Amino acid sequence: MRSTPFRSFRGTSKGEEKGSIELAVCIMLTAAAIVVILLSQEITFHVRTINAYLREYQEEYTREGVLIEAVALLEEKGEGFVATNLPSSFAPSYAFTITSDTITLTKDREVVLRAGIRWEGKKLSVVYVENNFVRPFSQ
Amino acid sequence: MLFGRSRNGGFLLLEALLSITIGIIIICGALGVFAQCIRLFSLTLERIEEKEQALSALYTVFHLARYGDNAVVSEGGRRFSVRLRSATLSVYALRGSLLLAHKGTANPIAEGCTGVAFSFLQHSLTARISFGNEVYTLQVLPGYFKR
Repeated sequence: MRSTPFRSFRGTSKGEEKGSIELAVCIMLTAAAIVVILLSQEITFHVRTINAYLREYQEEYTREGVLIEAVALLEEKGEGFVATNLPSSFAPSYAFTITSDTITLTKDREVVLRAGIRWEGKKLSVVYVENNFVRPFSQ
Repeated sequence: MLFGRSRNGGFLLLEALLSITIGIIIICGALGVFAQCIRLFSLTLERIEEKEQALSALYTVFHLARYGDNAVVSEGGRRFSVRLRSATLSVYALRGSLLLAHKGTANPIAEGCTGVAFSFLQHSLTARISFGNEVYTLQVLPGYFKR
């Protein structure tokens, strides 16, 4: 009797013999599948990590744009201008708060960037800028 | 009944030897393929780890250059220093690690780094960080916010 692959796990001696080979093939295929799944997972995580970094770089440039918008507005309005949670027109998800010595950028009410400012006559100077990444190093 | 099997259904010695030889060849081939897969797997993991270390290092250099001021390249391009308010920070490679020195303490920001080269070109900082044969490059305008 000729047995077909993967159907010969039977009690005859010939069936047991073929079954052993098929069992070994099954084990190897399972091991290969596990390796492929693990590798795919790692590659997926890696792609996600790279995308997260790219998003973070884009966010940085967006924050710069919002800060420049706040500085331009303050220069236009002049010394003494203060504002609280003014929505940005450059990136509507951001808002900025201007006080006499700082500009604070927020996103979803979370502070993402703080800049120190100083008026030198009619000229506005940005003394320092900190985000959450560099703040631990600057204090 | 190629080899004239006996009536009691057992194997002939020749059959047994032949089947064992074929089995060993098949198992060796499969193990070879499996070993290659494992090697490819570990190589890919190494490359992934290396790329993530490089990304992390470039990200750190980007932030320091962007938010700091008084950026200086010294020691023939092997060290980059920047000031963040009152603190001075330096980035340099030492014994396979890329280090960030801050307040007298150097902490690794990337492992497996084989070299680093910083240079200024028209106010733009170029950082080249090597991991083995791979070189990762970043160009950034330092102290952009300082006006």
